[in-house]
Amino acid sequence: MFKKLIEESTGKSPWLFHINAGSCNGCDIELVSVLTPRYDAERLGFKLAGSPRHADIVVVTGPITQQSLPRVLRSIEQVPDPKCIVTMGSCPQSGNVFRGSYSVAGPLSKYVHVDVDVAGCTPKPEAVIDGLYLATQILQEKRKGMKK
Amino acid sequence: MDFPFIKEALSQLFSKPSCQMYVPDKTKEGAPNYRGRIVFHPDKCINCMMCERVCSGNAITHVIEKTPEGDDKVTRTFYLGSCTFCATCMDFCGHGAIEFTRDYHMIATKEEDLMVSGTFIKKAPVKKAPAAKPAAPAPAAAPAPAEGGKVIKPRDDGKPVQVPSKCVYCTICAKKCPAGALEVDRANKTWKLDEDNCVGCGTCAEACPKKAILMPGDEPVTEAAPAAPAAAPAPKAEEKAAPAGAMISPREDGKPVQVPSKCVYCTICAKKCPAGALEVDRANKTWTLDEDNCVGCGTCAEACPKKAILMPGDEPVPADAPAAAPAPKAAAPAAPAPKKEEPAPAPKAEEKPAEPPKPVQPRDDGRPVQDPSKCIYCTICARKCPVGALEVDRTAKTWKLDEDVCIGCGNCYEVCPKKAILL
Repeated sequence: MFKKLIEESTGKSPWLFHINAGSCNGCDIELVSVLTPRYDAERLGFKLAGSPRHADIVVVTGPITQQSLPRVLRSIEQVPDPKCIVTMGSCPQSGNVFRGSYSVAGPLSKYVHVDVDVAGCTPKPEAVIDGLYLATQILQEKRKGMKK
Repeated sequence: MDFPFIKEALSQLFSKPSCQMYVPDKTKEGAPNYRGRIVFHPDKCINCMMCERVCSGNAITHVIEKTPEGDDKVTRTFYLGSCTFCATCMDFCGHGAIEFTRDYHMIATKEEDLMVSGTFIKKAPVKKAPAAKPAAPAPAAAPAPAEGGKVIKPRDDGKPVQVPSKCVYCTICAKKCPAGALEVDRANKTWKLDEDNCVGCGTCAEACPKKAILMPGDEPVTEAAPAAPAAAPAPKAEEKAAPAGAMISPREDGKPVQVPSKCVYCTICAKKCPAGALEVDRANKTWTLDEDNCVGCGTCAEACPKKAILMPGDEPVPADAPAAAPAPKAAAPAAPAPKKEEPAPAPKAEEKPAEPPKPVQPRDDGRPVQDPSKCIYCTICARKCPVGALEVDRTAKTWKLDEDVCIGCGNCYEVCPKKAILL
């Protein structure tokens, strides 16, 4: 009975882990504003986790620089399955204006499977919440798939 | 017992929360002027590729396929996952084919969901059209100055037409063409339009300093063949007949004059000319000045090791120097040297005393200052300015600096042939 209760609740409160992979800080600020009282994603169950080991959803910002690439991959590996990877802003999806730079190793999809892309430079907080909502649905499906 | 804030705490339980309700509503739009999802109107696009050129994130790409009819099927794609939403593409699009909407819901699980694309067919130029375009389809043959009294009409298909009698083959149109569809050869005097690449944007006609390019809507021009091309050599022919022992005086219009008796045709002046207006042939002993391109900067006269070039303010020189007297005479018929006999040797006499008393101080903000006493308004500084902050008018003799645009790079200072710019 308790097991079922835990399963139901974990699906309703996915914890986020935010990785800054060389972002210009625009997306980082916008992600924080998602959690402020105005947009209040915490009311929907989202909570910023301090460690990747506690997280369900990984939010990546920034164009994945050469320096950050091994750290990003290590952090993502530490997230327990099922996990969902969300890219925020144009940078992790393509490199954006940093595309072609000697120090940019992105896009992120070259290295890991990305579940949700939130486009924009930077995306509006409403769009981020939309993306996270879609991520929770994907997460639920993954969880069901793991049970089978 | 005092409970602080108990009233606020209780009232908050029943009031509406300050946060925005989350509505998974895809019809919600951003604020006015918010730049969200791009909408591309393929019917307005002319495939000039300006958007692709200005895009900092390389988000815009295109694919061209050939249709069975020989037309181009252009598919332009905007990848929103690489877009900064800076709207520079929209600003540069002359035909309003790119639009930014207020839709910010750009959530995707696949890359294809973030692609905005549109396809249109760009008609191939009509190769054969009867009678409608008299001069247009033969731009290569245009430089022939023989066709006198011909009427040159603008074309119907929106593409430019050259007026050979006005054209000085300065290549500005070719440099400005965003599609790279023009090929202008200054030496051979050819003006070629690549019909397939031309997008009919009209940039060439706007850039032409001689108004030698006609676009639809312009007035037809009657080609007066003997007027322009023959105008330059004609006076020279008279001058060649000038009696021996005549003096060579500097010209009044600020352009250089060659002294054939001193000139050794070393070509240094031609190499140094910043405007490329001099043509010197060592073998044939010719020294030709392109009057249209010469800016009168005097670099040639400064570079000349034999002092064989006269600029305004120089002393007149006898045309035939004692030893070399017969040589230039013999070369004269083959060499259309633009020497001009002007008996007034003091053209600059009134200007010179008026200007030096003004000392010009350099500014302390790193931006350039013009020294009007030295400036000859050759426009080289304006042409070399990377941000287009300088506006120099050669005829009106004005030098204007846009202080907001100037970045203080010092390019103008470096290129000024007269050192008339202070930093």
